[in-house]
Amino acid sequence: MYTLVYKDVLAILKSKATVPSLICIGAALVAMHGSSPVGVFLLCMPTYYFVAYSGMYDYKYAQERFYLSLPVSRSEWVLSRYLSCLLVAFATLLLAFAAGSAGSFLGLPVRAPEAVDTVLAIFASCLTTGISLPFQFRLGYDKTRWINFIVMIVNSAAVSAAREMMRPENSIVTERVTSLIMLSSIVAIALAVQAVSFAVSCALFAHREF
Amino acid sequence: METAIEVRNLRKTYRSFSLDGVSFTLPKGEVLGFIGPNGAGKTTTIRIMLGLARPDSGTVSLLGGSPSDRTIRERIGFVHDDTFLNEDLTAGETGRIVGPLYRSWDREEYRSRLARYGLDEKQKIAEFSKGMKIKLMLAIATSHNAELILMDEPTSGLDPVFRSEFLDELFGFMQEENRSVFFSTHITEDLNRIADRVVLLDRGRVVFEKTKTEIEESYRIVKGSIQLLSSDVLAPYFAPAGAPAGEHAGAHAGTPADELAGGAPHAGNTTCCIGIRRDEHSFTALFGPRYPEREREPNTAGYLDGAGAKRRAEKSDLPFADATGIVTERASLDDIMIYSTREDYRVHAGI
Repeated sequence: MYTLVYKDVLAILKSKATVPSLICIGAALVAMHGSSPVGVFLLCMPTYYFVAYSGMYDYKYAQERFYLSLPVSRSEWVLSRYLSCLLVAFATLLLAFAAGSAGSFLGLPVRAPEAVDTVLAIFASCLTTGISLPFQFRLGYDKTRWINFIVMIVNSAAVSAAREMMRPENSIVTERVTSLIMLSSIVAIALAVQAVSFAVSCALFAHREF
Repeated sequence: METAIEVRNLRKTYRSFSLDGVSFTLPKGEVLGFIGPNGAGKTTTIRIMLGLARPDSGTVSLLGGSPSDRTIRERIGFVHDDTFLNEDLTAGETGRIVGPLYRSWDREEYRSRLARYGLDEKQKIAEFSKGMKIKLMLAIATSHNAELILMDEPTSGLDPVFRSEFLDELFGFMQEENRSVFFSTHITEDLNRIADRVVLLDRGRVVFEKTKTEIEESYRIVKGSIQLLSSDVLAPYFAPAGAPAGEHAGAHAGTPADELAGGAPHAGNTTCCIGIRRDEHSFTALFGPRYPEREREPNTAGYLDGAGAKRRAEKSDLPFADATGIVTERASLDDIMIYSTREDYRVHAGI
């Protein structure tokens, strides 16, 4: 299993997606300085790039056909992609946190992601993979490129809405739930999205032919 | 007989193509050549064998188990018609990714094969030639002590030198007992060197499954001047398959044709004219065993008899030219494939 994750990560590190991902992380840190949800949105971009590029590599080199001829089950193949996406999302946050902390220390106009930003970024990344991957596993990359646009729209709307609900001045939230419960709920939703998406992907991929 | 591959009655229908009851067997320790023209269904059959596509019906057994069984896949290697490797990676990185998927992966074996094939571990696969990529696939397929290798047209697009080296490697692989190779190709020349048996596929159907010795013994090419076709010299070769015994013998008794044919054909003969190519001056025909499946096809209802050709050819030193100007020679796998599958060469009633 880990070798498939390694394959995905290695492929993406060697791809052109690395540069825009790093730019997005840098831009996110600057955007966060102004507490903008744009920062959170930018933090999920590397995951978005990863989903798109890994699908593209599979399509370009018919990777499914190769790896599914090896001792690899279809569910392992699907699971490895979800794990790779999570790994990229966490690596992005780690890098953003390290770079943001270093930047703040040096007096640059940047801010490291806080707990709320982190949770929202994970939520956005989970939405990205949760929506895109089932389509990719069913139809392949080439027929699902348009899905990425929908994912971006859904993501920006979801992040903005969640960010709004987290504001202290939002009376509905502050009266009825604490921030901690809110964060936990978002994490729970993100995990549920991942679980459902994974199950759907497995079911769809099981019937795909190469 | 222990089998490496057993395919039974495989059926798969697509919009414009279907596999129609494909069956064949590869005994352990042998090389099976899977031949057929482009679009015959070779790759579809292999995809089903590898679990990449599902059959509508029929069964596939590899090394006595299901292709989807992980322990069975551990014992199988494959070489596809294209490399299907991420070309941004190096051969070394590819080995590090693929290796852990096999419990019996031999890293040293992989490295030594790369060295033997002249492949630099640190070089990007994108910089390899087509032949080098196929060799890399072969190195992957043979570095985990595989008992069975499935190959889908691995030598297409390779020059003769590369093909020869590739076949040498396969030869080496087959030196160990009970190792088997399934070799799909339309370059039948490759099979002359290594195949023990051959399956010919055409339009999704198995035309025949024979050992190479059976093929060598039972197929003949007959060539001659076109005038011979219009006379009754060749009539015994082309007697209708269902003709009552003796009918044609009576018609041609004592004629040069009868003598040429080594006896008149009769109903129940298993040899017939399979295909014929004609031009302005000459004809070339393939004679061989009947294809019972074909006789059910409406457009080949007139499959014609030619028992004499085989008998005559067996008696002769090949190639053989007789007084009538007819030459008989052993048929190559290319001849057999071409004359058995080309629609315009097929023998129809009325020739």
